Formats: sequence, C-alpha cells, structure tokens
Amino acid sequence: MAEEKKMKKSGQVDFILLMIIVCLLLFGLIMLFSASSPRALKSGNIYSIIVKQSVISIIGLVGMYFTTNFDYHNYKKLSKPILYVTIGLMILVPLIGIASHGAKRQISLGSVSFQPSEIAKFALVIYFASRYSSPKTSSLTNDKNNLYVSVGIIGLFIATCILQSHLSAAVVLAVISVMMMVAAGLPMKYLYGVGIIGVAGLGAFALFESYRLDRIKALFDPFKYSQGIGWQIIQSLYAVGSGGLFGLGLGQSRQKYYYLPEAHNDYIYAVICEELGFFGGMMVMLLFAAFVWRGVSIALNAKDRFGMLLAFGITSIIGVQMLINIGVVLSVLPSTGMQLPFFSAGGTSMIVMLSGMGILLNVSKSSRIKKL
Amino acid sequence: MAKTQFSTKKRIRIMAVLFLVGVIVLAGKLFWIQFVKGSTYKNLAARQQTRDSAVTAKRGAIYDRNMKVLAQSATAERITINPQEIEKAENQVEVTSALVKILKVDRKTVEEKIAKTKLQSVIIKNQVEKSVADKLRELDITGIHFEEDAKRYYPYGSLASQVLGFTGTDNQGLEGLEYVLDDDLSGIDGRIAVAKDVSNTEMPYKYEYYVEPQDGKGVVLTIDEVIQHYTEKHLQEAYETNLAGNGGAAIVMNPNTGEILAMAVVPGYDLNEPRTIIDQHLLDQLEDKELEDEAYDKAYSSAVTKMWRNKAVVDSYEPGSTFKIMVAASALEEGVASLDDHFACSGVRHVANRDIHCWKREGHGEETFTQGVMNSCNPMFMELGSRLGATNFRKYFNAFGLTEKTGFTIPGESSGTFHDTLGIVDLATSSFGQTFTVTPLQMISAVSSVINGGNLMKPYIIKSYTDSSGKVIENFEPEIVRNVVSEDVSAQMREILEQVVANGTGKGAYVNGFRIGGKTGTSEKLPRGSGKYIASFVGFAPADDPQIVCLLLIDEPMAGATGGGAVAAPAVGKIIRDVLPYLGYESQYTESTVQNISVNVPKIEGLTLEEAQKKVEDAGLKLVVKGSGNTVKSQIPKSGTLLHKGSQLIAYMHEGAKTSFKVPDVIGMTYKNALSTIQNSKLNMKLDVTKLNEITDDYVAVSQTPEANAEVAEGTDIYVKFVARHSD
Repeated sequence: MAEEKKMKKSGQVDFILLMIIVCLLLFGLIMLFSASSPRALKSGNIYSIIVKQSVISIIGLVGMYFTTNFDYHNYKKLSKPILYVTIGLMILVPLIGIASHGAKRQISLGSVSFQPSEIAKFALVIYFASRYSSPKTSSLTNDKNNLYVSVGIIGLFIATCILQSHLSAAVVLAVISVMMMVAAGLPMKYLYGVGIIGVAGLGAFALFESYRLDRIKALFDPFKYSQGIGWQIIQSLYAVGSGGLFGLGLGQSRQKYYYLPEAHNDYIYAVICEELGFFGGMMVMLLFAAFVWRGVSIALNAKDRFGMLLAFGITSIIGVQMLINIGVVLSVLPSTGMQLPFFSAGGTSMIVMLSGMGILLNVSKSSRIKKL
Repeated sequence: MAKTQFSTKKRIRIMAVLFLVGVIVLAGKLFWIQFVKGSTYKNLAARQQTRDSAVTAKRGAIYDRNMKVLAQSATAERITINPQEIEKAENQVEVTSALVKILKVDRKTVEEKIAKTKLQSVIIKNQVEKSVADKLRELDITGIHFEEDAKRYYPYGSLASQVLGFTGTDNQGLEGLEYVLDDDLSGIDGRIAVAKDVSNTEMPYKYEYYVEPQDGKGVVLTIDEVIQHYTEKHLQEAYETNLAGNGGAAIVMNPNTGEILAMAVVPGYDLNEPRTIIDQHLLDQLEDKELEDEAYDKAYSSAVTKMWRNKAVVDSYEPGSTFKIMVAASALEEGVASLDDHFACSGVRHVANRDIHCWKREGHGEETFTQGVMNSCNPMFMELGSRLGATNFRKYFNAFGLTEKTGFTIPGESSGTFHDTLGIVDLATSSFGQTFTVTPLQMISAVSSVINGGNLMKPYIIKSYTDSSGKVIENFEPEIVRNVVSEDVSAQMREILEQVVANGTGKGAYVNGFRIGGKTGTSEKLPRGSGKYIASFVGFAPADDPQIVCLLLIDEPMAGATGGGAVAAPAVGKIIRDVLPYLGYESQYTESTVQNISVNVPKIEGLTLEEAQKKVEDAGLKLVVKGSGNTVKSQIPKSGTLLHKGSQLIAYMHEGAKTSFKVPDVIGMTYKNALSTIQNSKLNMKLDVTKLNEITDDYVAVSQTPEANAEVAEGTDIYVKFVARHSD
C-alpha cells in the first residue's frame, strides 16, 4: 500500500517544479505586458506583443504537455539525429537566415521564424547527457578521445554561432557544455585548460571586434560612453535605481518609454526592478533560484545517470541564462544580447524552452525526489 | 560507476552552490543600485524623463490714462529643433530649407545648430507669430518642435517710444518703462514638468506637475495718447524745420498734480522695430558722414542706441533764460524786489572785473521788474541774483528741486550739475540760467511750482496698476515735495509770464484766443562760440489757471534761427492750441487779443542777422533774408509799421539788393492818388511846390522825375510837379 503510494508518487511529475514554472510563466507574461506596452502602442495595438507571447506560451504548454508525457529515455536514441539536424540548421542560418539588427540568427519557415541556437542549447544538453551516460563514453578521465569529440562538437557549435555573430549564444552553449562535462567527471586539470581557452577566446573575440572591447570598458565607466555603448547601461541603472524598495508600481515604468533599448526583451528585468523595486527584483531571482534548487534536486535524485545529466543540463540552461541576463542588467557583466527565460518576448525560444521544461518534468516523474 | 555517480552528484552540488553565489552577487548588486546609488540614479532618470519647461506668465499691458493700449503681449511660438531626432531621421536638408524659407533665418546658423547632435533641443527662433509657425507645422517635419512664447506689440508704433521702451526676444524689458517696470509687468513664470519619452514626446502619464503662472500687472500711465500725439507732431515739425542736429524733447505736464501728460523725444523710433532708424533726418545725417560699410554699421548702431535715450529725463542742459522764471519768483518770494521796482539796463553789467553783456548789447534802458522779465533782460536778473545773494540763491535752487533727482520711473535719470561754491561771477551767470545744467523734467517741475500756487510736485507717469484683466489694483496720487513760493508770488508770476507771451520775447508762442504764459530760453552749448544752441520754451495755459505746462527744447537748431522764441515757442504755442480744446478749453477772442493780432515792426537795420532773426521772431513775424552780408542794411516794412502777426519782414543785407523798383506813372493823378501809388511802390514822393497847403484836389501831377518806368532803388525820392487843374 505504502509501496504503491510511493510508486504512484514517484510516477507523478514534481508539482513544486510545475508550480514554479507556472509562476515564472505568469509573472513573465504580466511583466512583459507592462514592459512591451510602449513599444506595442507605437504599432497601434497595446496588446500586440502580449497576445503573441500568450499564444506562443500556449503552444509551448502544449509542447510541454507532450514532452512531459514522453519518456525521456527515448532521447537517448534520438540524441544523435537531433544533434545532426541542429548542426545542419546552425550551418544553414548564415546562408539562408533572415537578417535582423545586422546579424542572421533566424530561419524563416513561411510565416514563422525560429532561432536554431535556441534548439541547439537543448540539443547539446540531450546529446551530452546521452553521451556521458553511455557506458562507452561515460568517462572523461582517461578517455582522451571522448574529450576530443566533446570539445570538437562544442567548437563546431561555437563556430556556427560566431558565423551568426551570436556571441551570447556561443557563451551559453559553451558554458552549458562545460558544465555538462564537469558534471560528467572532467578532470579538474582540464577545467583550468578550458577556462584559459575560454578567457583567451573571449579576449580574442573582444579584440577582434572593437565594439565588444568598448562594451567591457563601458561596464566600468558607463557615463563616459553615455551617448554610445554606455547608453543602455546607464538607462538600465536609471531604471533599476528608480525602483527603490517597492518600485514605482506595476505599469509605472518610465524608462520603458524607449529609454531602455529592448525593454520588452533583454532589459525586461530593469523594468521589473523599476516597477516592483527590490522586492520584485528579488522575487524574480528567488523564483529562478527555487527553480534551480528543484531542478538540481530532480537531477540528484534521478533514476539514472542520463536522467541526472539531462535534468542538470536543462536546469543549467535556465540558470545560466538568468545569471547572464540579470548580470548584464545590473552591470555585473558586459552587455550582450541575452534573454531572460519566461520573461523576455520571444517566439521559438519560448516554445522550445517550455518543451524543455516538459523533459525536466518527465525526468521528475521517475526522480526519487520528495514530492508533495 | 557508483563512484562516478557520486562524483557527479558532488559536482552538480558544487555548481548549484556556485549558482547560488552568483545569485547572491546579483542580489548584492541589486541592493547597491537601488539603495546606495538609488537616489542618484533616480534624480538623473527624472532629469532625462521630464521636460521641465517654464510657462511664460503673460506680460502686463501698458495703457494710457484713458485705457488705450500702448503695449500689449500676444501669444507667439518658439521654434526649436532636436538635433538627435534630425540625425536619426537624416532629414537635415529638409529641416534646413524649411527653417530658412519660412523663418527667414540664416542658413549657416541653422546648419551649425543641426550639427549639435549631443543636444536634444536648440532654439531656432523666438517670438514667431502663430501664422508663421502654422506654416511650419503643416509641413510636419521630424525634429522641429514648437513651444509657447509671447511677443510684445505696440499698437501706436513710435508713440512715446523713449518713454515706453521695448522688450527683447526673451520678453525681458530692455528700455524705458518696459525695463524699469519689468518685475511688475513680467509677473512670475509658472512651471510645467511633463514626462517625456526618449524622443521628447509626452508619456501618457500623470507624471507631471503644474505651477500656474502669475500674469504681470497692467500699468496705466498718466500719458494721454491724444496729447502725446499732438506733442510729438509739433515737436517733430520743429525738429525738422530747424534741422536740429541733436534731436529735441518736449514734456507736457499737469502743473497742479505733476502728472506727465506727454513726453516726447525726437527722433523717435518704431517700438515694434526698435533697431531700425525710421527718422529721415537722422538717416540723412548718417549718410552725410559718407562712411564705409563697417564704420557705417557702427555709426548706425550707436545712433540707434542714442535714439533710445529719453532726452527729457536723462540728458541735462543749460536752461538759459527759462530759468529766469525761478530767479524772478525767488526774488519776489524773498522780498528783494517788487513788481514796481525799476531797473536800468545799459547792455552790460560789471561783475568782479568782468563785463557781462545783456543779450541786447545796446541795453534795454529803464524798465520795470515786469518789463525786465518781458525783455529777458540779463543785467536785471544779475541784479536780482546779487540781491538774493549766494545763500538764498542756492536755497531756492535746491527748493525748486533742481539739484535732486525727481525720482521719476525712467532708467538713468540724471540731476544736472550745479556750482559747488557759488562765486560772484557764477551767481551772476547763474541768474540768467547759464553755467549749470538741469534736466528738462527738473525744469518743467520747477516751473510748475512757480505757476501752480507754489508747490513743487513730484512728477509721475504711472497712474495706477491693474491686474491682468485691467481692474485697477493700486492708484498713485499726486505728491507734494515742498512748498517753494507763496500763492501771491505764484499769481504775480503767472501774470508776468503771460505778458512775456503777449508782448515780450515769448510772442512766438502766442495763440489767438488763449491766455498763455511762458518764457523763452536759449543757451549756447559748450564750447562757447561753436554756434550750437539749445533753444527752448516753457509755456503754460490758461495763464490765470494753468492746466498744462509744456517745455520743449530743440538741440542744435541748424536752420538759421537759434533763439528759443523763434525755434521752440511756436511749437509750444501749437501744442497748447491743440491740447487746450481737447481738454475742454475753447478759445476766446477778447479786445486785447484782437489788438495783439497786430504787431509793431521792430527796427532791425544795423543788426546782425542773428540778432535780427531773434528780434523778428520774438515779435511774432517771419524774417525773409534777401542778399548776403553780415548786417541788415535795410528792412521792409520800416519799423513802427503795424503788421499782422506772422507777416513777413524782409531784411536786405546789402545795398545792391534793392535796385529793381519801377517808377510808376503818376502824370494826371490827383495828389492823393499819386501819393498812394508812389508809396505802394516803396518810393517817396517829393513835391515840386513849396507849400503843401496850396495843393487841393484840383491840382494834378504834370511832371515827374525820374520818369515813369525808370529803375530806381527803394525809397528813392520822386519829384512830382502839381499844377492846378484849371490853372490854364
């Protein structure tokens, strides 16, 4: 009886995680409505962005429902096809992609467009989780070949990202992959090597494109660059600084009136801090922290190594993006185009992410985590 | 495997902790931004988010005493551009050409302003009229913005220009009353802070505050537009006829209250275009200097600045004989002279080893006090000065307010200069109005005190303040500064001064049907001998109960006549002639005024041209000069002839000028007819008979020498022989 109850419980999705996801999603939609209104109003319809996001969220929830009920073990076999298709798409982007803001990052499929780099995050996580849980390729300690293949694949993705002028995606992909490798048992000596390569790579990248170097300089003295690269940093600081403890009130942001570039997207967290203050800002971070805590718990209690790595990787995608996005908004990191999951307006990223949440929920079903 | 798994779990935990560290770092930074740096960022944000603009208070209007609007503000617009928007829209060419075409602004200036891409707002033009701004608005060009502004209008253009003054592009009073009363007129600007987005357009928020502007007060002047108009008209005429080199000024005052009814300065200017010279005489003067471009511009702008000066208040001058009014009044008040006193003028008075001449070198001979004033006799006034003594002279000089500013509301009022120590010579010269200076305003105030019953009134030009709707909120009443002379002395002075106009040197101001009192004044500007004079006249009417007093002066008359009687008195007469009926005083012809229409022709033979000019004009006649020379050789008509006022008196400057007189044919005429015919031809008839009483109407002319049609000089004797008609 007790066994049956436990079995039943263990077969259920983690309700806490589901609630956190739903909270993030609803909170995100509310804040997006506020942050996007000036921009939407300019196009004539104050609801234009929020309606689109809601529709996409619903599609994403459908996707999530599907993946929640799709046994994650199936991805083990699908991991390679998914990876190859993704690599193919990533290579196609610079060739047939749609240009936006001077960079080709999207592929058009008739009326909808999507960013393959969003898929790539999950494809890599699935692939590495599968690779490092397969008996033949589970060890990174002695298996140099395994290491080279892993690094090769990461390098390939980074290269395609660079071809798309999409540094932030490259960073996320690299960080998540490295985290997967670390979790899988990458010897620490290699980690230093990866660190040096990463920093050197970023450094070279910054030097290669002078505007990136300026972004780093602007981080330390934004007011010196107030009319150029420092503009968005300053505007973000103004927004956050105006918030105080409880903010100006929901919908009362002034900085969203085009002072903040991409108020509905990369800088939505600044709007949250301005409208809801320290209280709102902390709430967002704590929600994400709760999400990471739950995701990590699911991973730690996963039934098998594949589930553990898969859950950890998916949790990492959300956690890392959140850290980078808020880090940029709060001027801890140099500015780069990073979305805040659940909050920023986005098309495919939302559908893909919610579907990814479904995978995590599916892992939670068999996880021995304590559930409500 | 298990070991790997364990290691993986451990590593995941470590990474989760690292994530937590990241969150804590971010939370710390969030705290730092919001609580440590919060107020700084908040203020900076507010600064960029709000457009805090002044709501210009409406400048109060200026009215004349009958509430006619002399100055008024109307809504206008300020055109600004946002260089950042223009840079973004890349419509520099469109913006430039529109601004140049519609606002008539300099293309280069606009281009420079567009290039200031660090700024969000640059003013292109202030005080643009609504209709012009609308033309620009219709084009709907990105980057061009409109703000509320005000523009000052002066409905009467040049009327009372130096008194009213004008405002600058920022609606700040720059000259005249606009300047002095700026605080009262301008009111207090309100403020409005509007939330704006990054492209300077308003946010749909209640994030704004509004402080209502307090409109400026209206100012009602004591000036009467009609009187001002007449005063300006006749001053302008005098200024033009006399080719005044340095302009002129006139003040009309109510002597009983000190209210300024008119204050005019020539050359005037249009208050709506204060930087443009409209006076042709002044432009001619500038042209005559034949300057190069740059020097011309410099001279032009200094002439413009000079033209803004209110000469009537700011510039002091030597009053000359008009000051004798005060000396006479002081002497009567102090009891050192009476109306019946007799004085003797030999044409010169010996003062401390110096000979000081009367303006009439040959002297006035024996004269009473009244006659002395009528003659404007310098030696008599020197005598009066001497009888008063330096202490009393100074006492009265001060009492008449001639050493203090009147406290008049015009910028830069001066108070003239007077001797620190009054020596015997200074006393003598001061007694006929020389060697010290006063302002026209001080002068007219002093004269007013002599004729109004003895009280020095504080001259004032502001009658009341009104609120922005025109309702009076503060009134100003006449203010007595001090009593200077008694009622009796004042009455005596009025009579004497009426005589000056009726029969003395002030005849030029005489107007049929009005009782006018007054006094001429002529002073030679320093350095003496420069030939530059200030001719002035102060007149009042009605003489027995003065309602207006008018002082008019012409600075540097250059058309020949330089005396106050010839240059200034007629203009004052005309002003009084126009103003008195307006004030309800109809002209009345009495027997004496009819008599006064005729004047005795003065003798000018032997005088210099200048002396003759003065004498003829003082007599109320016009001098016509024939020929050239320094002294008048002969005159027509002869002295003693009765002429109608304003008739011509011809002065012949040399003998050769009068040759062309035709001898008439009188043969066959009776004695009477012949005599009148010859006299009409300006010749003399001499009889060819010994006894006139023998000649009757039976006698007719039978011969004449010279013969008819001969050309002879004027006054040539024509010998005519008469014989009895029936003698044969």
